[in-house]
Amino acid sequence: MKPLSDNELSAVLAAWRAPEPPTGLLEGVWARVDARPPAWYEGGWAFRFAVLCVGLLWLVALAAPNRAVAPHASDSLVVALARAGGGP
Amino acid sequence: MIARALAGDREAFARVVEHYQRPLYQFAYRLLGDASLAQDATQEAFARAWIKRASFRFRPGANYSTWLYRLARNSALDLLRKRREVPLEGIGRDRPDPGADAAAAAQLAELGARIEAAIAALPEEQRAAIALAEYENRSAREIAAILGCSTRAAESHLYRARQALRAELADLRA
Repeated sequence: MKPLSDNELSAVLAAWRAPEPPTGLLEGVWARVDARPPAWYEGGWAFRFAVLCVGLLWLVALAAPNRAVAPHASDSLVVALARAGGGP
Repeated sequence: MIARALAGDREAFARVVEHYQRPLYQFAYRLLGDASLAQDATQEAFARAWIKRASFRFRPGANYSTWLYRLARNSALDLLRKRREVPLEGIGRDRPDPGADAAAAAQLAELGARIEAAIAALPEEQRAAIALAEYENRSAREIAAILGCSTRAAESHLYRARQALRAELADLRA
């Protein structure tokens, strides 16, 4: 069978009509917008920020002038910070 | 209206949605072949348009409606990836009632189903290209911007789609 020409194809395709959009589409849009977490929460930024803070605290503790020369393996960050601040 | 919507005015954006919801929904329907998925894709596209409105301002020379179509196509692609297959069994289910004449309505529904099935059988890029060219009157350049490809590639998608449909629908010649 001979294929359709460009004009014939356009005329045939025009016979297919897509349905109309449902009512209340906008409400669904706002529901999606409001349900989405804030931008700063996406991409693990809160977690990255927390890791950065912990890392910086460790650096502060390591650079502290009153820090013990040979730290014990059991030294926690809290103890290290307390020592840096002149504590026990 | 678009400028106000981009500036964060919710009422202006509501009017933008009202203006574009019909073409965007019908474009999504032509890509997905399912009314429920088309609704999901359209709402997701508008939601992204609102959330990412700041990024649109940094696209010099960009056309807002082209950007919306691009978001709709990306949302439809995400849904296709989730569902894997276009639900062809749903063809004809959501078609509007074409009129009171039952015989003519049945004939039109059958014709629509043939066209829908032929378009659904095309690869996604060709399906999007033919839907944009034939039903949204978009140029090859605009299609390229929506699909994120070169104008030459868009023309190629369109050419291949037309070639396939010319042969597939040849028996529907008036």
